[in-house]
Amino acid sequence: MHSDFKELLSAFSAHRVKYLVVGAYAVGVHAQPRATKDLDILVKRDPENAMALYAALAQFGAPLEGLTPHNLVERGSFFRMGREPLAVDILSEIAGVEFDGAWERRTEAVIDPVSGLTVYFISRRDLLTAKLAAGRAQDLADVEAIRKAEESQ
Amino acid sequence: MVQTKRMDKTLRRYSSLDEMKADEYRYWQTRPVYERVAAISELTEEGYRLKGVATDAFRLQRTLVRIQRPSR
Repeated sequence: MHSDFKELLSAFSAHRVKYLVVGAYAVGVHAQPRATKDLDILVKRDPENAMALYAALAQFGAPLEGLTPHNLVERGSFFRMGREPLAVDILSEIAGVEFDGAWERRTEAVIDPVSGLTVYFISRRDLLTAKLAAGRAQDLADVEAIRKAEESQ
Repeated sequence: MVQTKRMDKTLRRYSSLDEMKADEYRYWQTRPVYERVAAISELTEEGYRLKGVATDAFRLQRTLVRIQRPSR
């Protein structure tokens, strides 16, 4: 994973942000790796987490002028940092998935054995639900990959 | 990086493409998550290199852009 992504996720960890990696990086965990344009991160929509997220983004160096912590988790607002292929999407909601349940079912994994950085990924079950709800061509291809990976075990 | 890895030259025989694909999934599921995650970055960067984009100097721009859109 690119060092900037790791730095961002380390900041999330330092500030105890409740988040789940969704999208292609989660597909890579539950099926097999594929190329992607961005890192998709779903964050919990509550005031405490908004404060943690705001602090983590400030530590990371994102300019936050004109934004409040609440803005970061407002329904219907999504944030993007960077440009593909080094882009991060910060999502406060995704179709088909309710954060609290998905958080309980999350998959935790070390993504950097040197630093021990542990990252929270959406579970296989919730990723399937989200992908089916999104329903775009790539989502459906991911659904097939995740199911076949499960069947191959 | 992808270029520095050596190819596993073991020949494996399969009775179908589905079986071959299943073996590929099984292989990845045996690999640690950090390796799978690293492969995503490698595949992505290699794809951009093939398109002629220099990826060595890639850094994440830290400007936040707010997008108003329906749920995805």
